[in-house]
Amino acid sequence: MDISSVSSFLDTLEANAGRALKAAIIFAVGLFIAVLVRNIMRRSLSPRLPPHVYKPLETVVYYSLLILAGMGALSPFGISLTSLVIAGGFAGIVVGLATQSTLSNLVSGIMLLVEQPLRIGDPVSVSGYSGVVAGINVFSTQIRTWDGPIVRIPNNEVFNTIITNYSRMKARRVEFKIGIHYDSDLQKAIQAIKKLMEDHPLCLVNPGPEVFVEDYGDNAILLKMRCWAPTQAWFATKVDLQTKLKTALDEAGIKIPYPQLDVHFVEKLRVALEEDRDKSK
Amino acid sequence: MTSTSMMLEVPWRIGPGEEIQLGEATIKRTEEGDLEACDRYGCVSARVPPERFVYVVPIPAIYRVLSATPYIYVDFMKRILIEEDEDYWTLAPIELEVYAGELALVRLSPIMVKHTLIGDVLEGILSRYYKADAVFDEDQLEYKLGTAIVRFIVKGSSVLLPGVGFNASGVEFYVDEQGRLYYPLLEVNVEGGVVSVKRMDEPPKKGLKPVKLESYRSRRVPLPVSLAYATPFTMKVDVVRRYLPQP
Repeated sequence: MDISSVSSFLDTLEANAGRALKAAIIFAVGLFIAVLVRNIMRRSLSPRLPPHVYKPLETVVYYSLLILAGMGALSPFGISLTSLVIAGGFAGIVVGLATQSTLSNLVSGIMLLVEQPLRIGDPVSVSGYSGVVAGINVFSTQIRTWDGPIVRIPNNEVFNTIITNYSRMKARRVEFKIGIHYDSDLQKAIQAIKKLMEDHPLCLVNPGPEVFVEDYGDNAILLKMRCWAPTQAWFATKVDLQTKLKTALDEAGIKIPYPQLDVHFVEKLRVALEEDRDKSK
Repeated sequence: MTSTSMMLEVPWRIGPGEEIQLGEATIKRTEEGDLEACDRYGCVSARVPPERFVYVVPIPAIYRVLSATPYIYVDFMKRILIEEDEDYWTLAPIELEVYAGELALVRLSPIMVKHTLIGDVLEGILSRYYKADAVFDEDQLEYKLGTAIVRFIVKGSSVLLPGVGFNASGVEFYVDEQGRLYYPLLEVNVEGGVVSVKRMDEPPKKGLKPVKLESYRSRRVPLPVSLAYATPFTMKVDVVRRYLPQP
């Protein structure tokens, strides 16, 4: 490397250093404003609005300001918005191909924020993971599973998969099967189960509880019991009913059978007794 | 002292060694400072200094056993034919809140709790449920422990009304000279087969005193955020067809 090339490199560096400093300052100021606006929004909106409303708003405003700051930071280099758009047309293809999945996540994240199939705090089932939505960011969605861990799912997957949201309805049905012995009084069993649900504070009056014979099984008459409960109390109601059901059936004298097998012989069965064996000896 | 009456001055005070029973709710206080408050869904025990002022106040029945809705729905024993500008009377449940000084200790339900859904599973209104008679005159009402009297006036067309629901969050009760509690006046509007109920936040009749308790008033129990944006109570009813010519 000769002296002239070093000197020209230093000249270029000197010329660009000022621009770079300017760009850095613009971006830093932009970043500061974005953080400030986000904090102000959080402080003023969080007491008034639910998280699923203010958090997406906050995210959109924050990232919009960051993009503006980024574009502003390019101006000292003489790159205007128009030229950026034109250049973006070519660069976009290249960058787009290179960052396809990232962009896909970004677009999906924006779509999720707009469509809101799930909101922060909603109990959901997404991509085989069940839990509560802990956060929806631009690139990913966090689900806190029922046993605690946070699962991060890329937004692209969330947007393209089947989402079950358990919070959107006012009530959710609790249902399970119970087998009663064939010798038990069927009507008495139905009445006992129905009374259990009617007396339960979280089983709704309307739609009312139901009990019916679902099947005649190998070992038991299978009854299905159903009651609707407030969505947020679904699990508590289910657990409570399941626990109290055994006692209710015991009190009504209804037996819950063990699996059993009756064996019938086509011909009379001959059984050799010890006593007979002794005699034959 | 054991009291099973509602005919006490509101708020109901419980001194050391006293016991108060309101419906299925019982609150006991010993001379030594033990306090036990029970309803059919559980008991809470606490140790409260004997010199501390302990009292019970009525609150709307929307918290026990689950704070899931701000609405109360009273299902009438018999549907009642309502006419414009007439007024009707019924009963709605209350709950109790036990305070030690300014500190709320526990909420109790003096009667059995049920919930219901008015409308469909997605768009309906989840409400606390109570079954009571609707009558034309207050004197016909059979006042029950664990309830407060509700008066509603009717605007709009006649219908056979199966029940009345209202948003009970933050209500202030009124009490008469006999110690009977009243919910604020309700206005039932009937239009095109849809009933909507507005809470008027005014006494249902003259001569009632508001149940005033500064600490009780200042302490608003927060409901889940989604409920804070709850719409007024509305439901669909069958429109009454007039077969006879009107006079």
